[in-house]
Amino acid sequence: MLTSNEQLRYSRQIMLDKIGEEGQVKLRNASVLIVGMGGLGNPVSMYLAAAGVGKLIIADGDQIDVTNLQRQVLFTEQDIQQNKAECAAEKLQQNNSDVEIEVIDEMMDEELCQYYIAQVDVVIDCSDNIATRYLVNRVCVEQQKPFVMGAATGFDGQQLVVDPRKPDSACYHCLFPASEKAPAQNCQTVGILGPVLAMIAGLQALQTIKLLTDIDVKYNQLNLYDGFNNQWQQFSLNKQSQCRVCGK
Amino acid sequence: MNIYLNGQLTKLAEPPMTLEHALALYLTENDQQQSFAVAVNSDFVAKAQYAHTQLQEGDSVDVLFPIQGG
Repeated sequence: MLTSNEQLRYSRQIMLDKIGEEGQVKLRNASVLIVGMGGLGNPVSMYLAAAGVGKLIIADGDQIDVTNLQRQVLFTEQDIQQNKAECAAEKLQQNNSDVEIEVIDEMMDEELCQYYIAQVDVVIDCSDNIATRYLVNRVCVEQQKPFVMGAATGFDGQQLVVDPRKPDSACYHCLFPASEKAPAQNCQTVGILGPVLAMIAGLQALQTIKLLTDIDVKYNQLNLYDGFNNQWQQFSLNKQSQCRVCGK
Repeated sequence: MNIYLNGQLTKLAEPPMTLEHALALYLTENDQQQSFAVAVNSDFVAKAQYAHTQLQEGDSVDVLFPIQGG
């Protein structure tokens, strides 16, 4: 049951048929891991904390730099040189003191992934590099945890839900089989506009809320955002039986 | 025969053509060595099927590379 304070605070989302008090209780009982507290992790964590997700585990080993402020909207000039996850936790706690926040102030490696992914209901990939994305994807497949991938550079973004609980769900590795020669393009090398991150992060937060409240979420669908031409495109994919990560 | 390659109208030099052949002709060598995914008319095609996928007039072929940033 919700308290009367919770009923008031979350009234505008409880009002939705598909959420209701039952959905709000599910959000309160949920735990989510957010890998990366940069341009995607900032808005994702803000929306999930505001929505009343019970526990957020947020991971980032980086310090806030002046070049982050153009897009990482939780951080201010006073926060430069602080650890991103620690600083974000403080701001998120100011927004919602009911949310439990655990900080991982280092980059995710195999051991941290294994340990933390086991504790959560949904994993959100907001990392800025493909090695971490492959790692998180693989551990989510092993542990059968839904994985909400997002990435953006320039004017473009990609978003995919992997749900290893479904036998026919493709994984990130089905889509992009790992290659030794991955393109070396990230925000440092090709640039990024803040609102492009907000588009992808908004979709990641929405998909996560739906997963947590048992609303059907489309997996096997890559959402592609082109912010230059203002277009969304959807591509359908299939689980690859020869996939090194999720195939038999 | 014309197809759309990443949205650009492209005239195929020697139709009929398989997807594998088209990728070999129209992707740079550097692109071909990277990790990428190909969709024909919005459906992804598995790598093993490239050689068996015959392109048709007006097909939309999209070649996607993983985006890294976040």
